[in-house]
Amino acid sequence: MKVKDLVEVGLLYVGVPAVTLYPLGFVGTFVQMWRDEFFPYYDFNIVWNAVAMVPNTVVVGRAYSSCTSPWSPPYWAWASLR
Amino acid sequence: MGVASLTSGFLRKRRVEDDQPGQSGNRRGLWVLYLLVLLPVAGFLAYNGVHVNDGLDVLFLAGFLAFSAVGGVLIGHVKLRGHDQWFFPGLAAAYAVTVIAAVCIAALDTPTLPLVEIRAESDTLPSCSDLQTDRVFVKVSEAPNLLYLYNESGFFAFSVFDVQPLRYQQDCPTLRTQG
Repeated sequence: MKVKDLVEVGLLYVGVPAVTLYPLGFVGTFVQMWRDEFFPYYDFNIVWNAVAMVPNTVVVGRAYSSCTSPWSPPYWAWASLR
Repeated sequence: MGVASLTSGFLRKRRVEDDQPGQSGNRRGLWVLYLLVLLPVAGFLAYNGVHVNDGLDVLFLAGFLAFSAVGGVLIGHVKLRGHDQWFFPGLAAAYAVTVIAAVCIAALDTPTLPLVEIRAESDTLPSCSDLQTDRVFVKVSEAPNLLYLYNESGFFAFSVFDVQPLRYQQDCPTLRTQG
C-alpha cells in the first residue's frame, strides 16, 4: 500500500468522521434541547446560544455516542464498507 | 448495514443475470445473519433505549428508519461499483444521509447534561421522587463565578455563591421525559 493510499484511507475512516463530530453533536444537542420539556424556550436564537455554551467535549461526546450506539447509521454505514 | 448488504447482493445478482441469463448466482450474502441475529438485538436495545411519547417522536423514528434505509441502499451501490468516479460522492451522500438519521434518533433523547440540585440541604442523596423541582436544574456550563442552568421556569445565569451547595443528581427519567 502506498503512502497516498494510506492517507486516503486515513482521511476516509478517521478524518471525515472527526471533522463532522462537532457539527453533528451541535445539531443533535440543538434538537434535543429544543425538544427538552425542561427547556422552556423554542426561539431559535435562545436555543442556539444555550447549545453554544455547552462545553465542546460534551457536544463531541454526544456525537460520538450517536455514532457508536448499536443502531447508529453512520457507524454501520462505515462498518459495512469494509 | 443489512440494507447495504441486501442492496449490493441484489445488484450483484441482477448483474450476473444480465451477463449470464439462467444463472442467478445464488449469493445470499450476510443479510440473513443481519435479519436473524442483529435485527432482534438492535430491536431489543432500541426498545429499551428509545422512548417514543408523542406524534413528533413517531415522525423522528420514521425519519431515522427511512434515512437509515436510504443510507444502506447508497452504501450497497458504492460497495458494488467499487472505486469508480462515483465512489467519493456516493460515500459522501451516504454519510450525510446517515448523519441525518443519527440526528433523528438523537432527537428522541434528552441532552446529555447533568441534573443538579441547588441549595441542597439534606446530607443524603435524595431519590428522584423526593426532589423539589423548583431547585432542580439542568447544568449547561460554567464560567468564573457563574453557572448557566435551566429548568421549566427559565434559563438562568446564577452566581455560584447564590446556589451553594450544589449537588449533582443521578439522571431522573421521570423528570426529563422528552416532549
